[in-house]
Amino acid sequence: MSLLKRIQSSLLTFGQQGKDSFEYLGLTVRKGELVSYKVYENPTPRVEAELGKQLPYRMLLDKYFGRFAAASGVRICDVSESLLDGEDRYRLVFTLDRRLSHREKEQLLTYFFENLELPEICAAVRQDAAALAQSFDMGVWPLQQIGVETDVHAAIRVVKYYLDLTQDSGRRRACDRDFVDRLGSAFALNLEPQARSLLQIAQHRYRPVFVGINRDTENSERKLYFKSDAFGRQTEHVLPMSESLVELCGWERVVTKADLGALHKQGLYLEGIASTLERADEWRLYFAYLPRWRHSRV
Amino acid sequence: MSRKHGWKKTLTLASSAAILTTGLVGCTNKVEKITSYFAEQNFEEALNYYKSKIKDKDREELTAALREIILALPEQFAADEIDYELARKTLDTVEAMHLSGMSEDLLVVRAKIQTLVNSKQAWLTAEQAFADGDFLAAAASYERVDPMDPNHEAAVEQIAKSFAEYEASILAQADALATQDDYDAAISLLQEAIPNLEDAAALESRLEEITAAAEEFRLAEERRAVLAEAEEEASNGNLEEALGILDRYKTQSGDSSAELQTLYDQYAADYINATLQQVQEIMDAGEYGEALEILEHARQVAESEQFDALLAEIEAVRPVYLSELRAEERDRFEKIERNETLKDTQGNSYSAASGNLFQLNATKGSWTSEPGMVEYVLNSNYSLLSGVVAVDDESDSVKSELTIEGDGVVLYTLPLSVSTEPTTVSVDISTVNVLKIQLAIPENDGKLIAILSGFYLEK
Repeated sequence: MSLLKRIQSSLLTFGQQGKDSFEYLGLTVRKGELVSYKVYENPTPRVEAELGKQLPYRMLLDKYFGRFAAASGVRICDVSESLLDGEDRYRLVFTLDRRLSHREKEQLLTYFFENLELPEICAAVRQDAAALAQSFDMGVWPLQQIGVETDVHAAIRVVKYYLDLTQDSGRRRACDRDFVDRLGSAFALNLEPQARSLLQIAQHRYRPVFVGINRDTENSERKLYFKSDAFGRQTEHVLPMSESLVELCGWERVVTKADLGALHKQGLYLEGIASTLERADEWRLYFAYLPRWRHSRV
Repeated sequence: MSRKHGWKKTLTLASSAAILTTGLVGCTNKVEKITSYFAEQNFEEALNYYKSKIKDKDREELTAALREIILALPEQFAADEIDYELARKTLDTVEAMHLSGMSEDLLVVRAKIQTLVNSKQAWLTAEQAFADGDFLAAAASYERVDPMDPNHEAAVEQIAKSFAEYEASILAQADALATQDDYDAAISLLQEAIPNLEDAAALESRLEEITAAAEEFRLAEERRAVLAEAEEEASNGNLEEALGILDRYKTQSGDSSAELQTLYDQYAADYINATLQQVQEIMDAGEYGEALEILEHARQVAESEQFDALLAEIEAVRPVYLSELRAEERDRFEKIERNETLKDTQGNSYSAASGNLFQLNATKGSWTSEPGMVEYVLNSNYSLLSGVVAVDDESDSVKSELTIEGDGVVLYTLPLSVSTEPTTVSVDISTVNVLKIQLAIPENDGKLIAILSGFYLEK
């Protein structure tokens, strides 16, 4: 089945379910080839209502995050399932309110980990957040989201957390040479292999918005997320820019010009891009509905 | 009959002359016999006699006598004293005698006779062509009349006459065509005729006159069409277009006719009056920005001191529109194109025709929270900020907050959601250096677009 057909099939499934919870379609590209794709749901109230009925989410909430999820300033932002290495994975991610103070976020982090028994990961979260804040001279603590990925039995496989790059200054940062250097320095990573692509993405009007980290007891993987700077009417005219970027970054084998055109006709555009910092050849492309399309579906 | 008689006479005289010249009595009788046969046009007998009676000793005398006869033939033929057939038979008979030394004379005489035959035909053709009014053909044929031809002198006169008639006829035809406004045909006729005349001064002069008349005619036609087009536009109320048509024509053609100028002045006056009335109505409605734009545009269309005076009047009283200020900082803030219209969640429409309609766009999602903002440096130059805030109908069902800050201090807050009615905002900004308008979504994910309509700053 072609990529487009698979995407159309996935979108159709969501439409049939009538949940209107489609948020993103994510394509993982490695060495210029498609290795997986996934549809991300937006946790509308309806989805949240159903969460309690579904395993393993019910188990997760009951067993680990009851106190955390009920705390003020916390809400579920992402629930999704995927197939990884032949195994079903369940993801549950919470957002921390941007207006929370550093101390409040620290308290919530404690609640999050209190039943998980993963003190080393908890420490790593604090360390990563502090490193990023220091490297970019941030005035706020950048922890934005935190969650887990589990197997079907609700066993934690990975802790996921997201560090915000936009909160402190009120301005979105541009990804320039200095930004790449600071980011590499924060996590002690050599970003030279992907620096050119990162700068190309920035030149196509994408701005870095956060760093997402997957961590288990042994490994960690960091992704830098970009979001399109286009808004309102501008999003109707992003297709040529997407075409140019896909060509420059060598993703044409995954998403051809024809695919981009067909997706655009369906109201989807390349809203987000993520770079795996530890792997220069791995990228994730996120397609979302154009604002007017999304509105017309609501 | 008269020709034959004339020929006999001529031939007889020639024979006598030959006898006197030779003085050879023995031969003379035989030669006379033969020449008398020629005089009687009895060529067969002449040939028979020659074959039976003429000896070698007679040949010299005979040759001389017959040479005289044949050398006289062209003149006789030219004078129509003999016809072509008689001349030909005479020459054929002499040729048949094979007299020594005669062949060259025979060739010369035959050629002269043929030339005269052609000349006579040319005369006849020329006369017919002249009579038919084909003067150029007549002249050409008259020129082919040979000097030996008795009509030659007349032909020379006729050549001049033919060209004169030709010239007169061409001039008459060209004038007739020009009278019918068929200037192209007249010009072509003259241009084709000029090379046919050695002295074409008259035709050239007429060509110049008609070419000038043709150009004048073309300009008049063009002007008529332009005036008609302009009148059509004016009658449909499109005075600006009518003026444009006249102005473009004036510039392109250099036409400075009174007719054109009168119409232009009339339309300009109508346009100025209509514009002043329109602008006054718009001013009365408080839409100074639109009034200014109309006036600025009108100044490009027609010059008027009244426009300048009204512009000065508006400048003195009007507020400054948000669209006239330069934003120092902006994010998710969009000026709406003039051809667009926005709708709010309550079904109201907002036209961007005046160029002073904006959207402030805030979004909040799992990835980012992106407030919309715009910042202006005012340097305390204004006293009041006013305008209407509404929620665009493309907004999601999220709660949002519009804040207006002056130098970092919140001066005004307006909660916004899809149920918000259009709200008139009026904020004191008399001491504000830096003005910031911001839209943020504090809680749920979604997008909200605030419409900023007709915002202005009073001095």
